[in-house]
Amino acid sequence: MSLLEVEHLRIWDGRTGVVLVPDSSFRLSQGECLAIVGESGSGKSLTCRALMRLNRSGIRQSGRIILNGVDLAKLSDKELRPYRGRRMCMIMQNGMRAFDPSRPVGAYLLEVLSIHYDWSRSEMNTKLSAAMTSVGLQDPSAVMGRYPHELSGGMLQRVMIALAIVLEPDVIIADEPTTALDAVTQYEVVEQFVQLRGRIGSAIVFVSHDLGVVRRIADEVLVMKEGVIVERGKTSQLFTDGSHPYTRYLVSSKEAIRSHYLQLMGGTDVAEG
Amino acid sequence: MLKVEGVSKSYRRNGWLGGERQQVLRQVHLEWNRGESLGIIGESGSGKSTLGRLLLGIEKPDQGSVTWNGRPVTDRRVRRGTISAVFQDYTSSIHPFYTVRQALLEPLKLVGGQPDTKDMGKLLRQVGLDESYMDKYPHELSGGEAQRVCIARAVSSAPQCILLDEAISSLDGSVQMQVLELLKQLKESSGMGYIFITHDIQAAAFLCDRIMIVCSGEIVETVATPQLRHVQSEYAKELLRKVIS
Repeated sequence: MSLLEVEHLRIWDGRTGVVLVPDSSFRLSQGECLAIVGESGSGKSLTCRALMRLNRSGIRQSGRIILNGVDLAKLSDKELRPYRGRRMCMIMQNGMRAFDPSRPVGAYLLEVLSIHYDWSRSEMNTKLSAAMTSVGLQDPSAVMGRYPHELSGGMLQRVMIALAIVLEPDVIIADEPTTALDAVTQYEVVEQFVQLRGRIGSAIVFVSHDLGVVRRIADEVLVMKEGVIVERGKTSQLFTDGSHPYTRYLVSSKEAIRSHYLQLMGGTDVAEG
Repeated sequence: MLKVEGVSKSYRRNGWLGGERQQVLRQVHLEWNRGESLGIIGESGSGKSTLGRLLLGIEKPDQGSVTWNGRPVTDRRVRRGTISAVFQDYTSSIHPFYTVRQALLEPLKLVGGQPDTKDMGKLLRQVGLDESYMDKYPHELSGGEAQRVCIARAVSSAPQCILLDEAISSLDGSVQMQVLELLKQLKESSGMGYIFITHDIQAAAFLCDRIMIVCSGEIVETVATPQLRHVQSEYAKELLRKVIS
């Protein structure tokens, strides 16, 4: 049985009536990593946020979102709350905007945990520290005392991943988690995601327009164009022979840069080597 | 020729009164020759953007000099019509109340020409747009279109060098490719050279003849692109190892 099933998801702008995502259906099994790729404006982020009903208020949605047999679309906001964070956890593109800027990072983390669990404060601190160390944050207590603006983008991203490790959600939704990072930090965060998959059995929805990153992490890929899923397939198959022209266009545009680089480096794939 | 000699730069960490100074660049030397495209690569905080601003003459070094054919680039007359820039944030690069026409007109007036619609149409076609964009405002453009307008504007004064600071980083993969192709094509057709500042090694390797690797305000290594795999320093090797291709 699928862990998450999305059926006939339709998203539209409630004021203008413009349909943004006409009819999307996809499913996700336990432990699977599904990437959603497409250009800006293709509806990737809208789809993600719709899963947790986090789109801004003017945006309306219909359709079924079934997590472990429960239709989230039928729940009230209050009933949905325990699912947000605990069962479905979101990792955002911009750490600086995802955290409360007026409080230290630690205060935010403890608040999230105290909503979902009745652990003691020291218990929460121990768990958070362990998770933060495991994602390469050397000094957890110092990080927790800092405000978001005092941490780099890569560190904030790691903090969000650490929180996900503690929450052990069923599904992690990562919306362009590496886009705002430089190449080296990007590599390190992607490695964290790869390890995360091994450590907790969460399924991952990974939104990205960076096909190199997708190739590294995803089992399957959904290709979206103007709100429509134009193709879905295994990562390796999609990269070598996508059937939709748009898929081939996306892959080929990156391929020129990639193959030139690989040729320069002597034909070996350094990332996988 | 653009020449950087012994340039150092530091900023005060906490405001301008008191606070310790943070060294951003240390004793940087570099030369850029006409028609060349030079890639400057480094992590965030390595000082590459600061170096870019010094090259553009919009900031002054604490020590050392930046000169264009022997004259300091901080003099506006030296850089006008010789060097222009394209930045990462295309949304804030064009005056929001200006149409594409006005945005293109401004640099043309500065270099002292009698620009007409025909010239501007030609510029727009050069970057893969057309006259229909002339009366659009920045918010009506997609990211790729806005960045093309920025490139058209940079090209309009027929400079010898365009400095691109993370100019393609916030664009979609497919649009990045189109912009890179456009830059390559402009280089071939008009002999334009680039200083391409980025953290994306693959894009730099695609566009540039020579690649310079910057770390913590110092130039670690400079290498001709075909020799990229033979980099010597440990840092450069590590950087290449972390490329997700």
